[in-house]
Amino acid sequence: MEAERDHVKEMPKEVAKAVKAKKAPKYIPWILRPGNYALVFVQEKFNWVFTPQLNPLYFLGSITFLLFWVALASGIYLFLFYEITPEKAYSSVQYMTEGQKYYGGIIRSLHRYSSDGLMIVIIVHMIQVFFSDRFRKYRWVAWVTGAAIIPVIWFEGVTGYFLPWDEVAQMTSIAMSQIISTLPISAEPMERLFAHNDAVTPLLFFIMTYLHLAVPCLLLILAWVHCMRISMPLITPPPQITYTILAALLVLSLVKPAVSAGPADLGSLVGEVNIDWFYLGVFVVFDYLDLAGGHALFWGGVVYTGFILLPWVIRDPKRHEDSIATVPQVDVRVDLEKCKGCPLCQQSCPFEAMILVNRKDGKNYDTQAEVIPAHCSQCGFCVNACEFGAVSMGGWNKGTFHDFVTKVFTPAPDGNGESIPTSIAFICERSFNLEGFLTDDCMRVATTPDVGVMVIPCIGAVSPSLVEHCFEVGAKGVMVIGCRGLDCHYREERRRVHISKEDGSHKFMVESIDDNRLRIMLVSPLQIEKIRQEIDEFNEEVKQGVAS
Amino acid sequence: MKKRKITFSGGIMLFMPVVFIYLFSTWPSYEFYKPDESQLLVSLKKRTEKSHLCDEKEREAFMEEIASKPKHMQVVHRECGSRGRVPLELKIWLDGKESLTKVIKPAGLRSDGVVFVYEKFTFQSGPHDIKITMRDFKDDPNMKVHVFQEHIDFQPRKVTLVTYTPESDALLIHN
Repeated sequence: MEAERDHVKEMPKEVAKAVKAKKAPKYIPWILRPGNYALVFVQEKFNWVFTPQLNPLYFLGSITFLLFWVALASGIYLFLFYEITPEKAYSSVQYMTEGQKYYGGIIRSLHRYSSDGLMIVIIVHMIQVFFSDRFRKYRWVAWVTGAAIIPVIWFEGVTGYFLPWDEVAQMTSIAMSQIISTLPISAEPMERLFAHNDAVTPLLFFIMTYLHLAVPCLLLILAWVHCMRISMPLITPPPQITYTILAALLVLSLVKPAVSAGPADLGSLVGEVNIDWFYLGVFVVFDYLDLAGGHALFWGGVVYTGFILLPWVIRDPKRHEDSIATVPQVDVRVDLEKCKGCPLCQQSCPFEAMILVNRKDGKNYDTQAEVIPAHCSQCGFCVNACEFGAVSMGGWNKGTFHDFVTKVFTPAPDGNGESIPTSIAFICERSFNLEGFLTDDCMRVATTPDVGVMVIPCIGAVSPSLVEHCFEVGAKGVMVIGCRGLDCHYREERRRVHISKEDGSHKFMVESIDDNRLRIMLVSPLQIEKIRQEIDEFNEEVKQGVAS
Repeated sequence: MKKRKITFSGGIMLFMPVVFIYLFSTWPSYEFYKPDESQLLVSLKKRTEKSHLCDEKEREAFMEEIASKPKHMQVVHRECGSRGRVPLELKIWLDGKESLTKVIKPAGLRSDGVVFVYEKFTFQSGPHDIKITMRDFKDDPNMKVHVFQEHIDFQPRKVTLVTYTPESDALLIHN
């Protein structure tokens, strides 16, 4: 305990040194920074239009699920009427498209356009997680499974384009078979299956149809693994976004119903056809560049392997040297002397890194907490979640957090120290660029020295009991400043802070805290001046509140 | 209770990907083959001769060897000679010009399967002289050479398939 307190005393000096030497923290690898700035800018614009609560860019994963369900439901309907033979496949799809008084056509269109949407949303989602640096380290499983989902969805789309057995299907199957033939699977060139009309058998249609039905099962498994290391994954977008997307798909289906090209005839060459560029564009590229199947497969494989390996290729910047956080991000430890085996730390963890296992030290508790280092993001949520101070990160546990706050609001014994601050701000290190925002020792806000500061890895590490402790030791106001909405790197938004239904403000999920003395600011990194202003205003408010 | 709604401009922005889908789900179209192009497709499979066939003496020795073994070791389906088969030599001439010469190995790790051929040639439609020869690639002057030679009027955007059937033992146009 003494060592921990010494650590608290030494920390500001270390932090000041770091600030002088390195100026500002650099969390994002340099290669991602331009894209990251662009992404922040675009998200900010979307926030302005939609509000952070309805910004579709924050719900891309859940929109993917929505589009998948639309494609699945419409696909089940289409399967009921689809005839699995080369002779009848085209006519059965035509019957649905034109013969079913239009609704079959709408469902077919919904099936096609939701699949197209799926591809767009997945690619935007991938770009977003890449440039927001959410694909490395403890997130590698999500990245790898996400990378696996893309070709699987593409393959699902290609098998889907085979089924209507029109000219597009003819072109797709010949091109695809050329690529597959280069694999050492079968000695017989797969193109021979499409050498003439009689070569296309009902068995082939049966295989393609059931591949088209089986691949979604594989997708669901991949999606499950994709979300496996995330606690409380968001898989349903807000109703407003859901309804708007469904309406948009319906309007598109009415305005431009999906139709087949002419019937496939392997005795003829495919001339000019309308291409679904989201799925079939790749075949056009291969045809245009005259790439043989082997080259296509080789270069595709090289690009794809590089893509999957990105989490290990892009390295972490030397963030601990640059960090100005009061609480360092290092390995989390559990002190079994204090651990009671309760699930508080486990529930607080956003990446399921904290688990409860059978008690090993003979104490009279059923379980004990254990950290899985590979899953741990070092966000610090569990540190303050533990009411018993059993969880610590870099020597910081609940007790040292409280001691730090007590020290901030305790006058120097000789009376020569700095004045006691009015309020304290817990600022997320990632929320905005803190360079020049704080005093040199990182203990006060530079423009409002009345406000003491504690820089933490994420505001999720601020527990209601810490806020209550601030009030107990004399803080007039407490500010918790973090990232806006789903910008939070550690997915904190779904835990402690929620949006009040009454007035849209952010509140802690504990009602006993005086809302007038607590301000949660979820900020945009582009509006530093506004943050300064809000801090100043709140500080004035609490001062006046105390005076009155 | 204040209920959040998507603003008009937000709705418009959500519709933007739909416009993207509207455009790129069918546009721009792509022409895989020009209207005046035709294709000659040679697709066939053929079982070639074994690379070594037994003569009378070898066959007798083989049968004796089989008979000398205990009954449960006398493999019924085993044949005299090698298991592997010879490759197939394929030559194609278009309008008198040699366009392809290829020696294709039989399938299988021991080359004991059939030979698969899939070759296609795309050219301007119209009349063309086609000559295809095919023979088992063996140093044997008596080996049969299959020859297909015809003057064909290739129709625009049509595929002419030349294949081989063991029944006819000849290269012919598939109708």
